[in-house]
Amino acid sequence: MPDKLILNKINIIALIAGISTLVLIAISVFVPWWQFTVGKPILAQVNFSPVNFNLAFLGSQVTIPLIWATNLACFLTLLSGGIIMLIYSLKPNKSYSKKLLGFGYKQPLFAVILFVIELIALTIVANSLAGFNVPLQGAGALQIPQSMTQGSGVNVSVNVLAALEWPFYFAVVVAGLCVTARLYQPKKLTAVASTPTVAAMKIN
Amino acid sequence: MQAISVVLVLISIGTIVGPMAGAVIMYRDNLSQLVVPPQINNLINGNSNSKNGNSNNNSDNSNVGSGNFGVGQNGGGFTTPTLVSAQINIEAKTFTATVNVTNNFNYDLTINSFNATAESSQDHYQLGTISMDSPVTLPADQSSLVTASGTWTQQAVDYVQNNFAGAKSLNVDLANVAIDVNGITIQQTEPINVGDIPLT
Repeated sequence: MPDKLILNKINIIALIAGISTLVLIAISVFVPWWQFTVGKPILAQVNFSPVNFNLAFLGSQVTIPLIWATNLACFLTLLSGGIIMLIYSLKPNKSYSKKLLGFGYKQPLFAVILFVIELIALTIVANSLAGFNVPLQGAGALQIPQSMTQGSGVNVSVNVLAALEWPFYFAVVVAGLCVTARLYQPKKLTAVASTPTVAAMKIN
Repeated sequence: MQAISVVLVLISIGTIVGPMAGAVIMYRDNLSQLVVPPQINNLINGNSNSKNGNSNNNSDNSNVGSGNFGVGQNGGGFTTPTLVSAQINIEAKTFTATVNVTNNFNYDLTINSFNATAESSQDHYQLGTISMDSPVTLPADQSSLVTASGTWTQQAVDYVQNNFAGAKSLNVDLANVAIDVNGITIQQTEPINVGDIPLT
């Protein structure tokens, strides 16, 4: 019976969501959500997740400061979201809990949405600036625009491979868990409030 | 309650604005570098980076190209291959050609395939085909010899005998040249003249 009471004081879904968010951050630093490979053997590779953007071209790493700052912002936002989600899960019935949940559950969701927007924007920018039709998923052959070969009498096409990696799908699951925790909250408050034994135990 | 709200708002703002502001302050003297750092400019301008990841800003680098991506005389990627030698086996109707390919990148590259059609420069009569037997790796910043082999047909023999009787050599073009380097396929739209091929 005491175990059940302790469980009643913890939002299990939020706890799992919070832990999953922290796990997702750790994974996303090392494993990309989206990988784009140019050439075979590889000439250039882009590893992209909301917390890490890694561009390697001809063996050299290229860091774009704005994207680096965006990654760091996303990392901190997700981290704060995960921690606050954990705090909420342990104290779901406090007066401020709803505010914690309201903050925490959004972060993985925003990360997934932001990532998808960035990915689409990246392909649009690559297409509009350089004329490359970058695939989001699957293999393809990019035709290099004639303007880039400067009339040297050559046609150039590049084998590319793009793939959404498993952390992306894990992120979608984590975002789903966070949303579920948010939806689960009102029912839990009602359930606890309508349980007379809880109030009785607290008085004793 | 109120304090929690304030803290959450501060966290929201701080986690986003902090890194962004930091980046802007770091690059305040040249904000364009926030999006296009010098490394990318070097790559666009043909300054390839060294294998250990160092970039350079020198504009007098011998690897500097004209900003293009593909093949050209002293272009950013490859120098147009030059014929070094050719051997012909008339009885077997086969030939081998060795060309010098310069890899101007500081990065090992692999020629996966090479295909071309040999034709007479005079009237573009198709004499035979030429291809590479197996992939060849071109070490960084080096010239390498690449050997390709090919065959010609009896019709080509008849053509030469009928049109170049007594000639000691035949001027040959390579047409439909297609080369696959690390998955990048470069197709030459114009024939490449490889000079006179001895007939005797």
